[in-house]
Amino acid sequence: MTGTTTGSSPAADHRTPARPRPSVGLPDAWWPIAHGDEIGRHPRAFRIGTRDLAVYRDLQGVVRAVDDSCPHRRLPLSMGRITEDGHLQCAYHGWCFDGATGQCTAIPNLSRTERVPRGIKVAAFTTAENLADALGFGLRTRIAGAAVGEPSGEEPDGGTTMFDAVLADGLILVWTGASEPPDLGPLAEAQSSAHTVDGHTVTGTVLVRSAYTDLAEALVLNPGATLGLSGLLGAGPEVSAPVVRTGGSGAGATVTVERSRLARDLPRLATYEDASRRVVTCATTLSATTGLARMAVEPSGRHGGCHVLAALTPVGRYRTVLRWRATSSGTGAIVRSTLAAASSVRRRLIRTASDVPEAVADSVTTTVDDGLEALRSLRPAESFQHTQGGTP
Amino acid sequence: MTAPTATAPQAAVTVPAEFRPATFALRDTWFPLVHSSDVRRRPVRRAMHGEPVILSRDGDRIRATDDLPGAPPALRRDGEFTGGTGEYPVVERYGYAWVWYGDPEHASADLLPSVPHIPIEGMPRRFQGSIVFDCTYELICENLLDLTHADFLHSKLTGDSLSEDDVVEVKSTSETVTMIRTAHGRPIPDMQKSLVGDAKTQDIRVVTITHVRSGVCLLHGDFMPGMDIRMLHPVNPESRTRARTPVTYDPQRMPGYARALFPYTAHLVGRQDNWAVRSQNDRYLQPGGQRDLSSRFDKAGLRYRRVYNELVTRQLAGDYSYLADGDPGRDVSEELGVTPGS
Repeated sequence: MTGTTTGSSPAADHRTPARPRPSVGLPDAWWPIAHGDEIGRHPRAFRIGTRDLAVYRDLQGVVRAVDDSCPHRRLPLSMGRITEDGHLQCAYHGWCFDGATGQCTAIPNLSRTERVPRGIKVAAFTTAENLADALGFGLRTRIAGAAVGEPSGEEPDGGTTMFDAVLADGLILVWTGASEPPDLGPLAEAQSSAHTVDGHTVTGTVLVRSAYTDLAEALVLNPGATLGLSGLLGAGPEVSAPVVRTGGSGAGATVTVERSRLARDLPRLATYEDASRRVVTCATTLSATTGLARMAVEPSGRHGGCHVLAALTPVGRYRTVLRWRATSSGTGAIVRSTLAAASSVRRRLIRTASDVPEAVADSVTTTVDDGLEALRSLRPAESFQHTQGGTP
Repeated sequence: MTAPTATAPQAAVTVPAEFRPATFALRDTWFPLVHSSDVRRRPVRRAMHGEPVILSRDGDRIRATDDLPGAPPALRRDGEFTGGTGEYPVVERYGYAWVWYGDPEHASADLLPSVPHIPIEGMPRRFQGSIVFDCTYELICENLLDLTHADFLHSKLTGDSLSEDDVVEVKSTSETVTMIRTAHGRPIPDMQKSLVGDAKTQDIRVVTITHVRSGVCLLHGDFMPGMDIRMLHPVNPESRTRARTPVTYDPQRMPGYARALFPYTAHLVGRQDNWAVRSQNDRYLQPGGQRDLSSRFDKAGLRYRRVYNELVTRQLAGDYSYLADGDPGRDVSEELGVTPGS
């Protein structure tokens, strides 16, 4: 495993899941589901394809992802909590599950002799917390639940469904296949590349009403406009033909497109020159399967460089969560990062964050571009199952 | 006319393997749709399995119709269960207007559940309340039969899972499921501490009797020392995502102020339950759902699922009768642990 993990490697922890892993309606791959700093000790719900996952960090800081449904009475496990001895505990009846295997490890009332252990205290969700929930705040305690102790031996053989999860380059990635997860592949390269860059990092998240395949093409076509990072990656008209390269095969296939374009997409008066003449050359390498992309702009003149990682999480047929992480370096890195963050926040506040990504994604169907053709030729056929009416 | 009574069929019943709530409307049963005191001249709208019911008071009697009173004949619904009259059979008892859901020819007051711990004329209005849950009614019935969730979700009121012993006993007929939980030496829950003096622990006997066809639940929680709670807890199916519970409480062994306040706790406890069941609901409504894991504490819920599935199987075959062991009007005082009229 080449990805950076917190605590022990998920691959090392990988054991036979307590239940067969259900399909998420997407090709088998490491799919990004969250920024690393979105995940803490309290389970949170995230969606990938057609499945909801409860994702949390265990006591050792290892990221765990579990099917967001208690196998007992189907309550979302993201409504639960972590106990002091590291189990994921359902909020309804207190059933507990092992973070590595998903095996049921404790049922609060259960004991060999019908005598409930004195060590169990399950005053769980107090009235006050539920009043807050009643008022719409959805607040719950982030305090770990009391330790539940060792299994009594009478728990069911089964458990819940765990997904392999890994933290790599600030993203939480989940393996959606039924088989043993492979190495991270292209992402490892992205990670090593990104980690060589010292600079200022900002992140952003936006929900885009578009199929993830269209949004991946939008990243190939105009990453600066799609991510709202025109100051870093450029978003204006291209000044030369793109250079397209492909690499890898199967799930590891990538396409690299290098484009030189004007930094700003400003309106142009008739046939006069553009008002802004700064040209940015951006190389985009994108996974044909998942759309995970890294963009690199080398420093030139008085302008510093930057590296951007963009991740797509399909959450519906026409809904994709777009997460990005931009690291600026060189001259003016702090200013450019601050401006990028401020611009992202401004668009979110005025609710226009998804407008431009959607417009670029809509335009790919009518755009003739060498980079798009290369990506479409590499993309696995099942990518379209999720987006073109097939039941995911 | 009384619904035909039959003996148990000789052939083995094929019980559906999967519990699929909200996929079948069990019929030929009485639903206590509304507290009688809430029905006045101005019509009140309720529903049974999605069928609208308009209740209004006409002199001394309550009318339940499938259209507003005065609706032009051409616009009337003429529902399946009103026999062409536009009116459902109605009976007033225990402070409720009970409405018959099924063939009107089969409606009989003999098929009303016996509720020995509530006066036949009902409790005063201040002991009545109405809670709405965002889920199908079968999940609420299971919730009321499953008391291990109370240890976890309502521990401030009913106590946590600590005890010297904890025994769950389950009985059933072709129409009802009875759960009796007995535990000794439980720590006093926070909300009962003012009722028990210096006592550190209490014994409990909690009984739930669920009429599977109608969702009517009878509850008696005897906390010694502590409170004695008697409840008639209907769970009326309004839609696949909505169940209405017009509850009647008879709290005992507590001061007057606590007795007056007790019915309002239902909105806290009900809110806690709704927090859970509304999230469960979608997952049970989706076809091809997973098979649930269970522990021995779930045997009452599992028995409910079995009786429910058996009723569905019989009604799918056109058999809406009550079997000999399923008389809803049988005396359940002993099971509940109450003396009638006490």
